[in-house]
Amino acid sequence: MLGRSSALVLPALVLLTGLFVLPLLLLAAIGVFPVRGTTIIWERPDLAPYLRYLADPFYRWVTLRTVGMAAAVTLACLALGFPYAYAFTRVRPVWQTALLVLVISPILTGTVVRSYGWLVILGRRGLVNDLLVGLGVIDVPIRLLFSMSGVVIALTQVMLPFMVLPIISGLARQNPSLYDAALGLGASRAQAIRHVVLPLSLPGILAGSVLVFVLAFASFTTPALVGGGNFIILPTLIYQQTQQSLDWGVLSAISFVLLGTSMIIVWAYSMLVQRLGLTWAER
Amino acid sequence: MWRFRGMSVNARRLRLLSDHLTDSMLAGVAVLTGVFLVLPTCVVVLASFTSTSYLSFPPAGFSLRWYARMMASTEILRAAQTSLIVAVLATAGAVGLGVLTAFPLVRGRFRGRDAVLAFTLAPIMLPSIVLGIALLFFFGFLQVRLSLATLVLSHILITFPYVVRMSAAALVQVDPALEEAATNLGASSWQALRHVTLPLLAPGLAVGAGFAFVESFDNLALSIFVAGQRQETLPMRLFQLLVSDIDPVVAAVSTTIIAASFVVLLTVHRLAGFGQVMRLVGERRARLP
Repeated sequence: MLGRSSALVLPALVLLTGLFVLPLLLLAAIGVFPVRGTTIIWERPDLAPYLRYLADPFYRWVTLRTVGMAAAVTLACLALGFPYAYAFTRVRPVWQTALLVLVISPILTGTVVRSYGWLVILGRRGLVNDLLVGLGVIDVPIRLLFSMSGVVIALTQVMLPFMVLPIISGLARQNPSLYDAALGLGASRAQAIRHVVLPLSLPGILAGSVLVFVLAFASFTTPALVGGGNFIILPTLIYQQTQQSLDWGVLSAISFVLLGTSMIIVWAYSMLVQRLGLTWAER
Repeated sequence: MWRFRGMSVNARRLRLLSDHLTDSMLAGVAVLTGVFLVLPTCVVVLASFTSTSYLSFPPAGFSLRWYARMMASTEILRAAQTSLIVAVLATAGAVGLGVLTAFPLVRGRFRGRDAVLAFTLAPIMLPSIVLGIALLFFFGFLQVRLSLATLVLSHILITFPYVVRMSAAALVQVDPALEEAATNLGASSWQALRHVTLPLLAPGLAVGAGFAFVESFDNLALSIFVAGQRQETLPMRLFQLLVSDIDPVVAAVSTTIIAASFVVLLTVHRLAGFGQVMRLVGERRARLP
């Protein structure tokens, strides 16, 4: 057999060590050791940057807001994604392909392009405001851009595929006659969905929710454009700080809070999957 | 009284009504979700043809003035050129490195193989913004000047894991007996690799390469930290244009990008089939940190 030699992984290991492990170790070090110029003073490690981060009410507020925004995006994706995934299982294959193409379309257009579409739709003189004013629902345009609601709407569109695809792949593995059996035994549609389809999609819902939450929590482009300088979340805070502040320690602390939160959520998810014995859940 | 499945006629009518209601509600949400999914793309495409000097939707009139403006903007063209160069170089690097790494990971029997596999995939599990800031500090501390090289190397770092995954998945399917047959028939190892194994890997590689290209071309969160001053990529240029003002020229550029990504998609589809396209998209799920 060709290519069995373990030496072939060396180039990849060199790249990973040089541009991944070392930079992350350096970032971690900056958070616990004092820095002078471009030298780290390797003595007396402390958590001063983390304490500065925790002591700042603005940073605390941004952190809470980021969690709230990611949770709202997750719920919105669930509310729209579950009916969508359910519809997918109930239509003919031709329509299934169409629904799949539709749901992955946000991924295929670029990150900046997607956000741009929302800028046009949600702006002061955008589609939504024009429509609402035209219909007489509101008198003056409402503020959608540069606010929580705008960012949640835009991110929900971006993240929907990551909710829908796990639910669909979970449901596709189930025996479709279970649903028909429930109907045959006298359950109403709503009951069949509530007691058969929903429990069966739980692993997919769980996997999708974790994925959406973590991706939304760490997303940069959409919040930066749709949220602007007015609606700052942790990832945009990091970028903003690199442009103006020289407090590298706090930057490191924010990065590791971002990373740590994602890791804790994924860890909690894998524990939950083990506890519930959802072995066929999407990883 | 006439009964059906133990229900009276009235109860059955009620049941039919409630079932109908459930169905229409779910179908309604699904249809609205579909509209919600494509709306921004449609708006951008339509808005790009507006004839007004500001961005308007629905577009007033039809003109190609914003496309003309796009083609006249040296900044945008240079950024597009940079993005193409970076994406081509990064894809070439990612494919080379990815295939090289996938072989021993699939065929080798060495200690720590699973650990190496997990390690290989780590860069795509990390939020781009965190990797970006780590690299910015790293290059700063080493006093490495940000350049095309730092940009391309960083892009290889976040794209080669996808190539490893795709080519490893394809390689598992390749029967080593085919290579043995080739070698027994007098082919050298290189010939066997060149004429037997690599062609069999081609569909998986095409998807991996397509993905690496799109990922690199589209990247913003990493590029803004590691690109040199003379390497402004297209997403960086568009980002700057949008941060200051909603310039309609961005709609023209966006529409061009959308059209191009459909061409990429169709090419992958022709080369590898719809299943592989789905797979390409599904790979993004690997981004779970």
